[in-house]
Amino acid sequence: MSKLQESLESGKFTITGEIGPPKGNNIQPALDEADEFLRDKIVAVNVTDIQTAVMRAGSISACVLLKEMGIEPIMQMVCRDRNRLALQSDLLNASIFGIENVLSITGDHIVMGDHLDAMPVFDLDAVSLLMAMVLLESGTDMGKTMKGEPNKLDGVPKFFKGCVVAPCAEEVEPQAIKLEKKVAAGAQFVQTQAVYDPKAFEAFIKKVEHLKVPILVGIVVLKGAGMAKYMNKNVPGVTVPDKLIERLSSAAKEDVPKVAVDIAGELIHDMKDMCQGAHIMPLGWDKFVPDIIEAAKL
Amino acid sequence: MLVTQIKPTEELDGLLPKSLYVIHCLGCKEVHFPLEEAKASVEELKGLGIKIEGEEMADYVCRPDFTEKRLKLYADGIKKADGVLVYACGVGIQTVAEKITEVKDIPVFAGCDTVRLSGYAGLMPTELDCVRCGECILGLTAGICPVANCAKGLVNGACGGAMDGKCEISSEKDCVWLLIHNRLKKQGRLKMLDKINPVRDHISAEKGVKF
Repeated sequence: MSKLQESLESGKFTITGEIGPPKGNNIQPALDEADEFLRDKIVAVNVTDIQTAVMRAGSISACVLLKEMGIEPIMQMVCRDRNRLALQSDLLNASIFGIENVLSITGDHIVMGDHLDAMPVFDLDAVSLLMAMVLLESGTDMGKTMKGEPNKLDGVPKFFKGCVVAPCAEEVEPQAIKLEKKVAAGAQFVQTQAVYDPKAFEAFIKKVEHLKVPILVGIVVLKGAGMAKYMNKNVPGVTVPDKLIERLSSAAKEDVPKVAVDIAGELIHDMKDMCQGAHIMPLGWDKFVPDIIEAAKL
Repeated sequence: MLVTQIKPTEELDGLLPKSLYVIHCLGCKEVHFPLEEAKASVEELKGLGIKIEGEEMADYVCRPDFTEKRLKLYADGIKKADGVLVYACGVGIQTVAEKITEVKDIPVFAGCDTVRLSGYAGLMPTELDCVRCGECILGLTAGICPVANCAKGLVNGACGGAMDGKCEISSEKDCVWLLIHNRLKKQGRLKMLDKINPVRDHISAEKGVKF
């Protein structure tokens, strides 16, 4: 059983973090950050998968290296760039390296990234990728033999399967329905899009509590008022309240990191009784993660 | 009407309301329309106890103005029915779904699957699209096609990328899954979403009539 699964099953408030692989093969800085600021502070580290469709190293290699360092990885997997053969094959690849935690994501569209002329695949989506994992775990795959019978795997993988949700999307009901589908398809844990409004989060949690799936609230560290305003304008399903923007814009420049840490810590503190953990996305500010956890007063 | 294959009755059983109005599209019939099979399918539905309030042949159901006039012409029968079953390509079915509200806001169901036909790409330009995927789910999605109109071709619901109701690829483009959700909700049919096969069969499109 993965450490992440163990932690969630023990009922402990579970914190995860995140690193992004580089555009290039210089993986060391990302690993160093995980080593210095995330190890022992959090239970597991997400590794993003060609995030926002900007070409870069994928998730598997960094997951393998983290694991070798004794840090538990969560492999993110998007459906934009690989068909069902490649996705299932990479799930086996990950399993060969002992990676268990996999986060199923449909993925941003190609037009959000830097290869606008590429083909969007989306052969599977976040729901059917979870189903593929369940099939692999049962010793078969999505295909069939020439006789039309289920294929048989030589060596069966085991995953701890996760999914994502946007609890503060402008229309919440489609999100709740989709989460139901994901849980029915096999999701065992949920990490959310950034939440800045504990009241809206609480309302969403009430809508989905019958699913009985552990939910880690998403915390994106606000690195300044400019970023908060940018997110309000450009990031779907995320609303930063004016009072937080005000706190950031009224702080002196050198105090902004402190305010950012306080806001992130307070958010976790305010929502800790509504959910089973927090997923901190520091966007490069990994060095503040220990302070954020401190500020959360868990 | 492009090349269609009539859906097996089992696929429609349990999905359809107690009474139906049926529309067959004979447009672009120079290509192929299995009218006999369609009529046999309607007979089978009658055998299942579904009341047919009217059955009409039309052509070029894909033409919005034309279809609107036709539906008004059929109003007496349509008003008695709880749904409309359309045997047409995906564009035709979507056109009926869009225009039916002028007469009565009832669900529209796809009676057939539209499959790919090489060298044939439709007869007239329209905003509605059918990508001839061969496994039509318009009957489950309020007559709005996510395969053709969602930028990711998703069949399991909204991706979460929409802002102000618009798709993440363009602020000009409605999120088709929000449209589907809202229309199904209005019709009290959100449960339909559970019936969609979560994994697409990309070979269905190729199961067309060979010429």
